[in-house]
Amino acid sequence: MTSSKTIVLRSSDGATFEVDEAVALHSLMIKHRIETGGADSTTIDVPEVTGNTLSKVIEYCKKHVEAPNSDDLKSFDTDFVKVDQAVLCHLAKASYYMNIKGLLDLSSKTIADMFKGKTVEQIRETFHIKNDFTPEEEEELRKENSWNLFV
Amino acid sequence: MINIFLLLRVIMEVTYKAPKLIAPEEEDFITTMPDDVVTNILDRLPIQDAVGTSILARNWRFKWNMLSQLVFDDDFFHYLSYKAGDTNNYGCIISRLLFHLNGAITRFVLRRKLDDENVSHWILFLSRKGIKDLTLAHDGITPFKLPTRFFSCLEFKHLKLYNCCLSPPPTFLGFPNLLSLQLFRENSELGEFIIRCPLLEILILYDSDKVGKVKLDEIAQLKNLKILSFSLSHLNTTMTVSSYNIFELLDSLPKLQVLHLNFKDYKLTKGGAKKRFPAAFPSLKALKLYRIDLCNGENLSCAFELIKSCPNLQTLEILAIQQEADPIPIPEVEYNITGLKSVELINLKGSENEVHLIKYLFACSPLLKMIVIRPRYSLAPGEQLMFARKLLMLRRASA
Repeated sequence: MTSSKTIVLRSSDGATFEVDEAVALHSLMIKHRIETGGADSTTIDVPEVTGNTLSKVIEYCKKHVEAPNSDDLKSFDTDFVKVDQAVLCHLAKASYYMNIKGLLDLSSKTIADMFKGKTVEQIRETFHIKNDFTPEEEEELRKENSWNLFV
Repeated sequence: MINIFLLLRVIMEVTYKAPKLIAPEEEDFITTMPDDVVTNILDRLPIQDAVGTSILARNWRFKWNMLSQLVFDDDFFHYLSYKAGDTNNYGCIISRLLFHLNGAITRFVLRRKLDDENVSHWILFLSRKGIKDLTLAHDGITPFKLPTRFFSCLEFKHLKLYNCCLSPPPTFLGFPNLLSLQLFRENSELGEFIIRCPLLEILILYDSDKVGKVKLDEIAQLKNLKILSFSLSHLNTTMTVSSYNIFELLDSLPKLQVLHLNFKDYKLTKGGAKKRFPAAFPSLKALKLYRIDLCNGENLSCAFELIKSCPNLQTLEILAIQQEADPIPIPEVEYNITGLKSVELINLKGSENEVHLIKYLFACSPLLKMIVIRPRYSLAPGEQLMFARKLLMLRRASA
């Protein structure tokens, strides 16, 4: 008889999520914690991830564990990353800490696509990066990089 | 009095600016992400864009120094020529770029012929940076000569060498971690090289005017092969090849899933054709036979036997040529169920043999979802019509 053991994951802001063990094991970090944790590893803290992000990560893991060969997996992934850049950054960071390669690659690729075809100013605007160079610093940087023509 | 207070208040409100609270949606999350994640993102950008991020902000100045995948392809050189124009400078730009890189470099792609000395130095640099995946390709006339240093990069997992010159030093013991090897226009004796790469899963030898030579029993030593593509012109000219040899090869590659065999107008010899090869090849899923003359009896019966011996074959693609004229005796075949889902037959003439093969495929493939039949472009319309009529009259097992 297969036991459907569940694990509770606790986010940084105290939100708890009960998930099937098989789904939780999609995160190699959790897998490692369970394997080395001993008997009382039913609640696992994930302090690097907030509740909102953790909920989305679990949604991803569920789909990929429960229906890995389904025809609509690709369209699920495409729709999954149709989110704001801030959410994407949180997902990338969470999947990095939780060691979920598929999600890390998916979010990294989507973020990379947001860089393409944009000018420096447009990139700053998209990601809210503040230009803290002084005009002199910027000039010096361009001079230093005159060999590469990319800057 | 009241007026002064009012005036003061107005002045205060005008000059005092409350600190602008950054709305949560406007916070910069990307700059503070872990280095590994930022590197993962920058690795996916064209190099010029990745280096260009150094001007975004102070914190971004050196993030690109952790790039671990470098692709110098047509896009990159196009960008350089647009910006610089001077083609002599490219080697210098790439060299200086490499100087700035701090971390491991696992993938390097170069698709342009630059001078051998530069490339040699880059390979030396990469050999110390844990290079695993290397592509050197160009369509110039003189091949890249791979330096001795290349052969001591024991961490290689993937190699694509197009138009290079592979001459290992006598001390070369092989690439123990190599998983995939793709060669194009490589002229030397390849057998000695490939047998020293025992983990190889993918071996693709492209057909070209210059081909390296191997022996079938050298390929047979690569027990981990999953994908194999080569042409009969790659085999040593002293060898003659029969169906039996091909089955022998398949038998020694238990994990093979994909086989592309380019007959290159070759006619299989009769030796061993009558010997029935007892084994089946359950792992083979895709079979491509290129430039095979189906009007030749040996070739045709080899094709039939292959289809019959691979019960899990899902995809079949045949590019036919026609050298011999009809008629020749059509081999007797038992009808076995196949698992074929997709079949593509290109450049057919509509000959009896070809129709015979199609008849077999139709009758034995209940799972067939798609079959594409392209006749020779030189077939006259009348002949095409006759061909089509013959096909429509064949019985089909699938829906």
